[in-house]
Formats: sequence, C-alpha cells, structure tokens
Amino acid sequence: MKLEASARQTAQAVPNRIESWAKVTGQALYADDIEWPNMAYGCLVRSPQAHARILGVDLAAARSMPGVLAAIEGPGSSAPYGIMPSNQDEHALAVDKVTYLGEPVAAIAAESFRQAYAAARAVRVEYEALSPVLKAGAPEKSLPQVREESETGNLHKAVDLEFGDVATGLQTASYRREDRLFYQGNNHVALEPHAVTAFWQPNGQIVVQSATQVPHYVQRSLAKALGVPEHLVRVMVPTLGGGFGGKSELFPHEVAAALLSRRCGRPVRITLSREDVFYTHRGRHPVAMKVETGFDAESRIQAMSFESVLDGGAYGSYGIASTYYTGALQPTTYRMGAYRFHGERWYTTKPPCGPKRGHGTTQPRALLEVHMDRVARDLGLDPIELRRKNLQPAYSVTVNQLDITTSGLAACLDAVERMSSWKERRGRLPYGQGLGFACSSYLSGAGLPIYWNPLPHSGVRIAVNRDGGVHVACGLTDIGQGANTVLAVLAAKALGVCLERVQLTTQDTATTPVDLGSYSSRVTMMAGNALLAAAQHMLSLLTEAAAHHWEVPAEAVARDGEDFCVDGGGQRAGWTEVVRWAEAELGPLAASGGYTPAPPRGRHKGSGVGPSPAYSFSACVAEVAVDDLDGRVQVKRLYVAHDPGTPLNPQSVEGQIRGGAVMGLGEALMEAQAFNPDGRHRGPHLLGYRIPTILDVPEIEVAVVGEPDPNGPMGAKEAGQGPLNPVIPAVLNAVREAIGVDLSETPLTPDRVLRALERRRREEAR
Amino acid sequence: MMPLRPLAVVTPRGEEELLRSLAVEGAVPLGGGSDLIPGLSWELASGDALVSLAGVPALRRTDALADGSVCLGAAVTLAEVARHPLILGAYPALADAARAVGSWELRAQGTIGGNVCLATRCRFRNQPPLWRDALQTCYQSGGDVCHAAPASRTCVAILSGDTVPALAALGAQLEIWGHAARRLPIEDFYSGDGAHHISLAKGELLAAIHLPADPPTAAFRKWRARESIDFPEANAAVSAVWREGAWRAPRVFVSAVGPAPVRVVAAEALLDGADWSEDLLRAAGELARKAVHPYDNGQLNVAGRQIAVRGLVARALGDLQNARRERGL
Amino acid sequence: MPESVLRLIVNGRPQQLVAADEMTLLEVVRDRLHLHGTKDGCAAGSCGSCTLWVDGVPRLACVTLAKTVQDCEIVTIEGLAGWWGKQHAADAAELHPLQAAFAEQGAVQCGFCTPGMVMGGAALLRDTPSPSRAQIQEALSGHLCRCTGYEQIIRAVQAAGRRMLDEA
Repeated sequence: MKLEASARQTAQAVPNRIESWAKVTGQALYADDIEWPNMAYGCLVRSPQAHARILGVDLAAARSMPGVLAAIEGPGSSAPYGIMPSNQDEHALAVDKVTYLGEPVAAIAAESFRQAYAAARAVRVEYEALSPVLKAGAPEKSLPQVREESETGNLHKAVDLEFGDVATGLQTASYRREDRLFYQGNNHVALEPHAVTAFWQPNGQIVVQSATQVPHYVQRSLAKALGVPEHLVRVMVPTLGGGFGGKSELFPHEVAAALLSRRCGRPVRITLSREDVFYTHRGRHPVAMKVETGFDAESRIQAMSFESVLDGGAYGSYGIASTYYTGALQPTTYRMGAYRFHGERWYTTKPPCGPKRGHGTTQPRALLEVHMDRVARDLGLDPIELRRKNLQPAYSVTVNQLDITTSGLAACLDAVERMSSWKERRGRLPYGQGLGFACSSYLSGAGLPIYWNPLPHSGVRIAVNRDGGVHVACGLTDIGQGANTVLAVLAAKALGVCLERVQLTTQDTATTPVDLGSYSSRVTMMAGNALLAAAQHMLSLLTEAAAHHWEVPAEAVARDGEDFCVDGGGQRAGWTEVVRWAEAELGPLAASGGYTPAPPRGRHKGSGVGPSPAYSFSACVAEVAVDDLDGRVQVKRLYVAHDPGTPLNPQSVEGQIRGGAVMGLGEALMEAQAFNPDGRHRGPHLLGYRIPTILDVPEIEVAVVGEPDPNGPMGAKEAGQGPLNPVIPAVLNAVREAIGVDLSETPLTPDRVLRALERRRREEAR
Repeated sequence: MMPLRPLAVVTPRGEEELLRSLAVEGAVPLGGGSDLIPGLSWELASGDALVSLAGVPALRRTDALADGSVCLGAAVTLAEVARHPLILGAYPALADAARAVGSWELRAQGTIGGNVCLATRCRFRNQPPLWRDALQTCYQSGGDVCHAAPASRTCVAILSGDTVPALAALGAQLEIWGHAARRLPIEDFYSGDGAHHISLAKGELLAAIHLPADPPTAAFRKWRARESIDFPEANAAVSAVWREGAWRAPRVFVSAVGPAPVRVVAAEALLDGADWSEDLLRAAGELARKAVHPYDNGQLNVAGRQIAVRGLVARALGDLQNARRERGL
Repeated sequence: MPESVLRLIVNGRPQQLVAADEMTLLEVVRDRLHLHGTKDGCAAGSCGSCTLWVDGVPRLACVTLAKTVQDCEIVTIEGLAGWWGKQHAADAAELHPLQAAFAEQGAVQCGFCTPGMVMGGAALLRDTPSPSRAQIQEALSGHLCRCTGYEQIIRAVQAAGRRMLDEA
C-alpha cells in the first residue's frame, strides 16, 4: 500500500509528519548515520574519578596504537564556554581537575571506532583523589570547593524574590500549612544518543553536523571555545532522535570532534554511548523544596513562601535559569496576595544538571500540587474546588508580574473532573485505590533570549520560485516534536497553497535565518509568528503583481483556492502564473519576517525568567491501585486535559500530550539519576536507569480545551512540555488517597512504597 | 557502544566436536548470547573462543521421554519453553517463569540453559568498564574485596535467572556433559559463591534439563521495577502435591536475593498438610522473608527486596490454591 | 584476530564479506553494509532499537554476533517493504501496511525507535494477524519509545492488522 502522500493533501488536512515516510523506511539520516568521505572516528577519554586533581595525562601509549591519528588533552586545547553568559565555566577537556565521573579528559581520533576506543582505554591519567561533594545545601567547611565560580563554598547561586508582604500575609492568615518534598533528578533518555561529525576544512571553515536542539547556541559557543569568528562555524542538525532538553547546549564531544579534525585534517565523528549520555546528562535537577501558604477565611491564598535547593552537579549549565524557574510559575495557576521565593543552586561532583521538559517548573509544581491537596484535606474541601477558588484568571497579571492572555485552566479542571467521574468516585474507592488531581501551566517560549540581544528570536525567509514552489528557510530545529511539519503547514495555510509546493530548509546556521532553538516550547509560537510575517509580506508582493497585471487596485485581488482573481471581474490566474508575473516585475521573489516577544513587564532582578507571550494550561487526574504486598503503584488510567490554544496539528498535539504524560509517569514511578556515596552513578545504562516500557503505561484519556490565543500564530500555544507537569503530583496525590501514606520523595518505586507501608504497619503495631 | 575484544566464534555441529571445543583453554559456551555479548563488551566476561551451542541438534530438542518425564535441551530458547505444549500442559509455572524473562526479543534469543547458568549480577560490578576503572577489583573479577558486602569473604552477586526457582520447585534435574556425564538436582548446582556460582568443571557443559513425570502443582512469581525487560529483584516459586484433601510435600524456593536459590524449609514445614488459610500463607511468606538475607546490590532497595519476598511467596501459594479450585479439587 | 567469510542474505541480496568474529550483527549491518536504518540505542539489548529479522525472527542485532547467523536471511527496515512486496506480489515501491499505519496513526515522532518497533510489530502481524492489545504489548515489550507514550504505536499495529485482513 502507498503512504497517503502527505504532499498531496491540502493544507486543511494536516499530516502527522511530513517526514514520516523517511522514518518508517529507515531512510531518515540521524547524526550517527551519515558517512562522510574519509571520515575518522573519535573517542573521549573520561575520568573514572568523581573528584580528583589531574597530575598527568600520558598520551604516548595511545598515540602509538594502530590507526591512531590524533590525541589531545585539556590544557591549551580550547577556551572556556557555557550556555549562560555569566557562567563560562566549562572546558571541553578537563584542565587541572575533574569534577564528575565521566568528565572528558582527553580525546583520540583513529581510523576506526574500534581503534579509537582501544586507544582511549590505553590513555593513562594520574589522579590525586579529592573528596566527592554529593549533597546540595551542605555548607560544610571541610568539603573541597568544586568550582571557583561559587558564590561561597559550593553555593553556585542564591536568588530571592518577593512580591507583596509575605510575612504579614502568613501571619494574618486564618489557616496556614507547610510542606516539603524531595524531587529526585532524572535524565531525558532521548532514544538517540548524542553524536557529532566535525570537519575543520582546509579553508578555515568548520562544518559541524550534530544532534542538537540549539544549532545557533552551539555555533556561538563552539566559535568561542575554538577561538574563531562565528561566521566560520556552520552547524547543521540531521534528523534528531529526541531531545527533551538534553541536547540544548554545546558539549565536550562537539568541541573535541572539531579539535581532532583540525589535528588530523579529516572529518571526525564522535558518537556517545548510552553510558556517556548519563554522564553528559543536563537532566532534571534534584530539588529539595519547602512551601508555606497562608489562606484567608474563604480559602483563598493570602501569601505563599517557596524555597528550593537545587543539586546542580559539577557545572553551571542552565542552572541559574533553572533556579529561577523553580520559583517562576507557581503564580500562573493560582492568584495570590503575596509571594516570596528563595532558591539556591549548589555545585556537587556529579554530572551537570540542566533543562529537561518542564525546565525547573516540574519539581515545584509537584510539591505545590501535593501541598494544595493536603490543604484541601485540612480544610475539608474537594481538592478541585480548592483550586477553583484560587485560579489565576485569563487576561490578568500574576503577582510576580507575568502577563496571562488566554487561559483554559478552568476548562482543564472541568474536563478531567468529568472524564474521571471524579465527583462520583473520589473518596469512595476501596483501600488501595485512589484518584488524584493536579494542574499546572507552562510557557509558550521564553520572553527573553539566553544572551541579551535586540534581534529577532526567530526569523523566516520565504522564496517563491518560478516553478510555483515555495521555499521556506528557518533556523528552527525539529527534534521529533514536529516543528518542520508545523512550519510547512503554516506556510501552506498562510500563502493559500497546497502543502506539496512547500520545501523547507531548517536547522542549518549557514542557510537559514536564526531561530534560537527548540527549548522553552518556543518554536510554534516564535517561528510560527515569523513565518506569518514573512508570508504576509510575500503575499502582498504577489497580490500587487496581480493587481498591476490586471490594472486593478490591490484590494480588489482575492483568492480562490490557490488562484488569484478579481471579485466579479472575471480575471483569474493560477498561483504559478502570478508568481511569474511578480518575478518578471520584481526579480527573484523573497520575503522575510522575524518575531520578537514583547518586553517583559517586570523590572526586578530575575524578571527575565518566566515571561512568555502565552501560557498553556494542563490538568490531570490519575487513577491508581497500590498493591499492599508488592508495593507496586499501578497507574490504571490517566485523564489529561491541555490547553494549547488552537491546535495547529491535532495529531501532533495529542502525541505531545501522551508522550509528556508518560514521561511524567516515569518520573513519578521509576526514574532516578541517582548516585552512590562515592559519586558513582547507580547505573548509567538502561537497566540501571529505567524508563517506562509499553507494559508500564496505562490508557490515557486526552482532552484538548482552550481558545485561540491572540499572541499565538493562528491562535496556537504550546503542547510540548506543559502536559508532563501535572502527572507527577496527580500520581502522588492518588497514592496518598489509596493507602493513606504521604510519601515525601520521588520516584514511587515499589521498594519505597513497601518500606513506607512497613513503617506504618510497625507504627500501628506499637 | 563498546566493541568486543578480538575472539573466535566456533560453531560445532556435533556433541564430540562441542566437548572438544569446550575443553580448549579460554573456551566459553555461547547460548543465545543476550547476556554474554553485553558482558563481553563491558569486560565483565572474557573468552578467547565462544563455542556456540546452536548447531548441536541434541541441545535444541524438547522431548517427552517414555517414563513420562520431559527433557529440555539447554539451547532451547526461552520463547520456545514459554509456548511449548509439553511445558504449558504439565509445567505451566516454568512457562510463566520463562515468559517473565527480559523481553520478547530477549526470550527469542536467550536459552533455558543460559538462564540457568546466567552470570550473577551485582550493582557494583555490572557496570561499564569506566565505572569500575578506579574501583578495587572485586572477588568476581579476581580481586579480594566485595563492594556490596565489605565484610563478606565471598562474592554476593545475585543469581538472576527467573527459571531457576521454578525448576527447583518442580524438582528438575540437570544433565551435565563432560569427561563423564552426570545428573544433579538443580538446587545442588549453585555453590553460594557469586564468583563461581555454578558447579561446572572446565570442559563441562549444562546439556539438558529433566522435568519429572507427574510433577507437583507449581507457581512462579517475580518482583522487579518494570513489567518488562528487567532482571528480577526477587523471585519465588512454590510447589506441592494435593493428596487426600491437603497440600503435601511443599517446596518453597526464593531466588534473586543472593548467589543461590534459598529453600525455605521452615515454610515448607508450616505448610505441609496444613489448612492453607490466608493467614497461613502470609505466615509462610513471613518465614520466607526471614530466611533470605539480600545485600544492597540490586537495583531496588535491599529492605524493599526483603519485604517483597513475603508477598511473592504468599501470592505464589495462593496461586496453587487457585489452580486447585480451578481443577475442582 | 580470527576473521571469517561471512555469508548473509540481506534484504533478499546475497552478501559476502570478511569480518572479525567479534563483530556484532549491528556493526555489520550499519558499518559494513551501510544500512543505517537499524539503530543503536543502548548496545546492550535493553532498548529494542536495533531489532531486525534473522530467518524471520525479530532479533536484537546489538547482542548477536554476526558469525552466529552465518547463512541466515536478514531483513532490516530497509528491506521490509521489499519482503512484503514479495509475499504479496506487489509493487516494490509499496510500504508494508505497518509502515503506512505508523505514519498515519501518529506513531512516529523522533523516529529513532521506529525501525525496531516496525520490525517487531511486523513479525507479530505476520504470525498473529489480529493481535489483541495484550499481544501487541507483549511483542513490543522490549522496545522503548520516549516520545509517543506508546498508544499510537498500539493503534498503528491494530490498524495495520485490520487492513491486512481486509485485503487478504
């Protein structure tokens, strides 16, 4: 059977993915699939120590091994870099000391991967071991300092925000409660491990094909690390096998591949093993949190104080942003009189943490929603009713100065309440079964870029050719979420042409206008708006050309399908014909558009984290059964509602909701980037770090709610990250409902549940 | 990925050639390879010559013998065990255990012999080479320390084959080929030392598994983190014979809590001929919990693993009761 | 370093190459035969991304030594449509119904697990034309997907099964 050729569909019938055919036939090329002529293979030499001074690196043995082309070590090889402008603390290859097990120390290039690997194993590095630093928030003087960039000791960054008078709000509250939660860190586990090919060409240009979500930032950082002008670095992204935040900055293997290529004059491929991915990490921070909230007599939030302590790992990465994010979005769901946030991020000798789907908002949301459930219990209120009393309304400004436009939050609450038969069933299930609720919200793109600049966040260039084809160039990166499809479909819709006319060039820094990257759920919002601007420009060129040709005013020109016509005038011309008229008049046709979000309302320090052109909203009810004998939390069903504004590609939106929910389920039940007391990862492989299999996933009922957002392209908001957030606290709340035990740590593995039940059994026996 | 070191693959076609190949220094039997190959790439296992069992027809047969017993060749895949009519008919607990191993593909590749001989696992050893590079060599790697149990004089790595307790509960015997063929009950096959966990001399091979005629009713239960792929964090199998209105000759085995399966004699004594009330089954489970002493070298927490044993045994015993009721006894 | 002449029939074509005995089938398929559709997600048999068929049985190429499948027939994702076409005397350009169903049902996101999933699912459908939800889950229980949440994959297998029955 033939695949329903997506190219033949009209723009109205949205295909799931314009590139599905390549992915189902094995034709799609990922970073490790592309064979360059004369390519060499690289392998990183990593530290077996979690924290140690480097006394010496001996590359001699490795250099003499068969097939070895180049061997390099840290000192003098590259300049420091980092994703945050104020945190340039990383070297591609460690200089002087190593600060996590797995940190790259040297790199080898050889004729084959086998030879590179064997040589890397032969490199001898002499270390002087230092004490590992494993705990965040432990200002013990005796512990060695991990990074010189620390504020004091191993404190990387402390931030404070206060809006309104929290002390008074708490003091005068008619009811107040404090809760704590430790949220375990976890990894993205994109199925595709990172891979790169870099070629330092003899002409000085450096061409890089890398599995990254952010080619623009990789280009910038790589140029800095290599000490070359940015225009000499070209970053291209092949088909990307998932990101989830784990491929959102420059990594050592990317720098090392370029350095090795310069040494051996050949393209160099470095592909990470699954183990390497767990060391490269940048996953969700482990966070210890405390929240205290005071309510008035009507059960409305009078004041909230939130504290988070993040275990950052060995480098800054996105950490400063992550820290602010743990305090940023509590007020987007709940209106409150006053709000205070204190956050700290600490350096430890573990792989660096960074952004993962829900960046920094997932952990506090888990505690906040568990807290709201406990408040409801104390106050004798239905948990959903308590939320309803406190919802932040649409078209409002939050206590921390965030502008909310559309909000489907109330509709999300209604939807999951209805789908789960909440009113009929909650509180009436037998022991061992429970329903739990939670809601959340997320950004549709960060309001500010990572480094300050006044330039567009996203740019699109549209060329229309005399063959009638439409070429759209944009720096956006399709990480598997369907960004290319959204761009193509929007282009077809905006220009009023069949999808088959549209060709894309994306994820290439040399041939496309900059898009900042696939992070913060920004692509549909920002590339979409840039596309609409460019398309409008192009349409006006074509409309004017038709108007000139027909000698009518431009306003008289209308569209009928792809055709241009004059209402009531009888003139009519096909798309390609009008394109040719325009090219004859104007020369080759090109139009561009950019998008920059409105500046944030807040002017305080830290106000750059949290603002967004629009917020998505989500809610979840989890239905669980907890087995008393084996401790298993079986999630029997999830009900998830999400407000993505206008879903531009309904099938993709559903896919994001389901995928996000299941990733949340994994975080709630099994995933842990955890370490032994000596700093060793508990299991840097897929048996030691477990993600849900097809047998661990319940049926999920999905509802899409909401209305077109005025800031979104054709009304769209995000769907890629938001739906993950409510799942974790919904499961936690359901488990509490099922067994009556409050668990204060994630994930809810069966051993943890069994121990909690055993503790209670012993307490009851006493 | 981490490439394998150079080695030879030998594929003998007959029994004599097989035994000759295995007698060579550095020869290692290769069943399905689903555990051995990653073990080699992580430098957990070593071998100069992998001797494939796949080409020896005698090792791939499932035969019903004249005395009513069944002989399973060591190279029969777990998928075949799980769906074979002879096994489903008389030894359903073994089919359950085989189906609990790994995933669909791993069962299509992995063999019953490989599962019985499966290398023991430990969270402080079953890690990639870099992870272990700066760690003192442990007993299993030829060193003299145990990272999981510093006070232990031997390796405490975990026996992780799911079919082991099921076969033990069924009273299976192992047929060993070597200088002289021998047979032994499966529970005598495991030494209790995780570093040399099975009693096979150089050149010897587990060739077949004999399942008894008129087997007892048996049941198998597994506890792990996920519903698929994962090795057991604890497993259990029980069997008994329903005779004259009561369960007789119960056998209770717990495994994946140490280097060898644990036979819970106290529970067997409690259960033999008694009225199997819910409380009694719980009590038997509690005896099993007390009888095992896992170390913190699995994926899940050690206290949880021990507590889970109670439920596994109680549930498996409950499965026997259900099987009896289904048969109208 | 022992090397052998390896003889395989890959996607219907006889292949002969000299390979070291320690080469995995995944290395042979990807690096020597340049069939990059078969993916390497963990190299330890824990993710299912490298699933292909050996004599019709779905196998994990990363934990299979190539020499142990000497003279076997290998089908990779690149050859599935051809295999299907041969079974049904159909046009070589046609996709296996499961490939089409994956695209149509939204079972493809990043696509990295897709080749392995499709090879596993297609083997199930060959042996079990109308699989239950539980059978689909069991057959795909060794295949990790991080994007979809699996439901669309189950739907794709069901849809393909229905279509295959309708057209049979």
